[in-house]
Amino acid sequence: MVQERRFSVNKAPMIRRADSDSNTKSIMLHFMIALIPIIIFGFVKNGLMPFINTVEDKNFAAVIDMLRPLILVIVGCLTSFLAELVYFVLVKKSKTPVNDALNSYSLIPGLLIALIVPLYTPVWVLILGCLFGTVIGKLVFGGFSKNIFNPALIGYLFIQTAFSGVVAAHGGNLNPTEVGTIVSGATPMVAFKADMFGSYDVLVKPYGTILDFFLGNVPGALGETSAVLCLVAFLYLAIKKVIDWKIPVIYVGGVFVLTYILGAFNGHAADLWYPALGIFSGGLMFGAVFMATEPVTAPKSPNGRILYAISLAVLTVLFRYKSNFPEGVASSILVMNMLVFIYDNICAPLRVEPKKWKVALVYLGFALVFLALFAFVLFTTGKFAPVEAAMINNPLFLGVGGLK
Amino acid sequence: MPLGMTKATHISEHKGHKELTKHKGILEYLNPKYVYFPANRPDLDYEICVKVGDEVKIGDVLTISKAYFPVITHSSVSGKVTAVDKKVWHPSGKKISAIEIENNFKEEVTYLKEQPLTKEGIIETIRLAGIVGMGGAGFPTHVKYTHPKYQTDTLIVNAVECEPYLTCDCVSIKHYAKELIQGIKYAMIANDAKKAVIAVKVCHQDVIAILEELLKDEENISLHLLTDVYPAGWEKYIVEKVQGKTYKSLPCETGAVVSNAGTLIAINDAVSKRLPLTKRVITVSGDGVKNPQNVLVKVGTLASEIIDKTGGYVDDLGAANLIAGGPMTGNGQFFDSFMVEKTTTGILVFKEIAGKEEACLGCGKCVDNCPVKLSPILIKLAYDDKDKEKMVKLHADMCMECGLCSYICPSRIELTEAVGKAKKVVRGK
Repeated sequence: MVQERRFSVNKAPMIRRADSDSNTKSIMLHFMIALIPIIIFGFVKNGLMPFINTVEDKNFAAVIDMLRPLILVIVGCLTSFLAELVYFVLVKKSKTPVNDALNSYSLIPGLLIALIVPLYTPVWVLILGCLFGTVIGKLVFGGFSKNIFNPALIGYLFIQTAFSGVVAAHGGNLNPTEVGTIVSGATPMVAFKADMFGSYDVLVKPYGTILDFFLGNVPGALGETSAVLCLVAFLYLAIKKVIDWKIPVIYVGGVFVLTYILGAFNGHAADLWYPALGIFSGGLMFGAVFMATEPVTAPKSPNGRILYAISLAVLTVLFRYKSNFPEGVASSILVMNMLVFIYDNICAPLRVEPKKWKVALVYLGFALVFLALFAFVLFTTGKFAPVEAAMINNPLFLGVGGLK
Repeated sequence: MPLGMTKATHISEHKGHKELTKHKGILEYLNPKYVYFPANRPDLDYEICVKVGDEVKIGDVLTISKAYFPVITHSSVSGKVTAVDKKVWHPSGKKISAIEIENNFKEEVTYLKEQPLTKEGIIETIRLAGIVGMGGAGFPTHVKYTHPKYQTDTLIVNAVECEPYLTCDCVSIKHYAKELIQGIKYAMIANDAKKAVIAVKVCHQDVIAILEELLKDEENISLHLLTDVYPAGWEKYIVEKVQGKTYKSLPCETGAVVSNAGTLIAINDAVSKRLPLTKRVITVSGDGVKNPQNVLVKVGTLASEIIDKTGGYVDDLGAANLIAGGPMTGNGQFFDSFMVEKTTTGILVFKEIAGKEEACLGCGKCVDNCPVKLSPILIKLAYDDKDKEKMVKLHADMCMECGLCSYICPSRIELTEAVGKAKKVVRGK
């Protein structure tokens, strides 16, 4: 008889994809790789080119200024990494804090914040923003995988609300070349906010052509201007199956369609540049590819993700045309982050719901809410603004006028 | 994809592992010194028909399970019953009491009683031969073929074998193609089926070539090619692909009955050779064995002997996992001295990979890939919260434990286990 041999028993299934490829480490690696061209572009456009072409006195301060984009990126990464390191040492009492901090994707929030804040954000403001994003956006929830909001956007919003004056005083978004050429001193989104249905000469021409918007040769934060590089990153991440391709496609596509409809009602029916400007500006592409898809804070059910992306498109348009923040991407993603739990709770059971009419009813409900929100934007903006005035004055509707 | 249909996923990185055994012949190991048969299992109650000291021949009845569907087990060797309550490891992973038979190597056979070649006669032969579904589930075939409420016109032959590593069906078809076709014809009579469809994966080109050659003059038997996905061998998936419609609980609802290719070869043995089911082809594979191979063995042989017969373990085998069945749905074993059952499709040995479970990334891949469209991670969260209401709402009871969610999870979370437990909670209400 053959000698008996003892084996260790693991849980079924005995083969795991995580052991060969496509594990959490490779996902993070692909995510970082996808950001590299965008970082390089930001450095070349905002640091290197102005240094070569515009800056005349090439002294030490100018060199530091040239390296500014890279400094922002490195400081951002380091800050959020160190914050998590301290968290793992002090709170979690981890024996391998460096490893744990790396495994919890700690570099990414800081990196993303550095790529979306204005170029001349002081380093100390960036450090505060990264700390706020990592601690309040992530660690207070219990660390990676438990956070509700996108940590990077929490940090970004913090800088936007608490330090926008400081940032503007330090030079805001314009790099040395742009300071010389752009007369109004405003970024495209600010120009858009000033005249939402303005002509080509107002909205696009001061910055070049619509191709400049596509390539990223316009003023704006390091990462958000180049639509083409976001597109390349999107293709890479989608092919590597790191992100769900449906979210960016539906989100960006939705904003395009809704912006076109709004434009069409306000004299831009024949202008495709108008919705194109809508999707190439305001960090929409960057937000759609790198933030709306962030797995922890996006829905887990596929049908939930589709509704989530449509909601993002509607909310972004709503915020762009109706709120004080011109870009609308950050705020709509944060609002939707809050609702992800509800979306999953509604959508996941629908996939196995045997009663088809119930499924249809829920989707119809979502469609009506989307329509109502968009109809509100449409009928209170631009040409239809008198409707809004009438609504405010109508004692039955809003009652504001009635109170007066 | 129409609503309500199931779906499947390509397990790309393991496709090649079938190559370990696919092109090799079948090794025979038909003379074990001892064979073992379950005398008691927690889920089945056995009526033992022999006692210690009895002389038995191949085909003598040892036990009849007294469960809802009675199944007969025959001796696979001729010899003497030396024990009826020996504790032996079972492929389910538990140690059970078993009947031990000492082989006298005379190979004397008790043949089955001859039956007429009619529907009833063939079903009776299948019952007497103790034939069960040989794809792994082990549902009694004679019960499956008795479906008074439904009219069936199609016999679907499951030759898909979607589990990675396993090639026993694939190699059996290559070696016993004629027997398979004959078995199909008997099964068609048993089911009043007008046509038969052999479902096979498109990647098994050699199998397809052999079958196409044989099916030239068969008008009623055709091939249906399926893509290389998992779980393509799942009954519901095959029926949907072949019949174009789905069912609730039984394939008969669509007019189809599904049988594994190995089962049909066994039916042919029973009907034309009057031999009960006492042998089967089993895949020995994995990176822990020297010579991965398909082996024709007697039911009841110990796995350790089969592994030894193929050439044993690799020399530097340290910590390792042993699986009875396929890598996705098979059972892990503590010892290699477990008996082979009629339903054991493979013996797999893997060098252990000490993978660690990490925090959920939230990628939703488990939800995307679930064949029955469940939401494994949400069910796991509900299970961890002991939120039964939510588990019911998420239909945890629909899980068929294919293992795809745990397989695909980049964080190595034990989703299949959690959903399996949630399923028990939901069903136990």
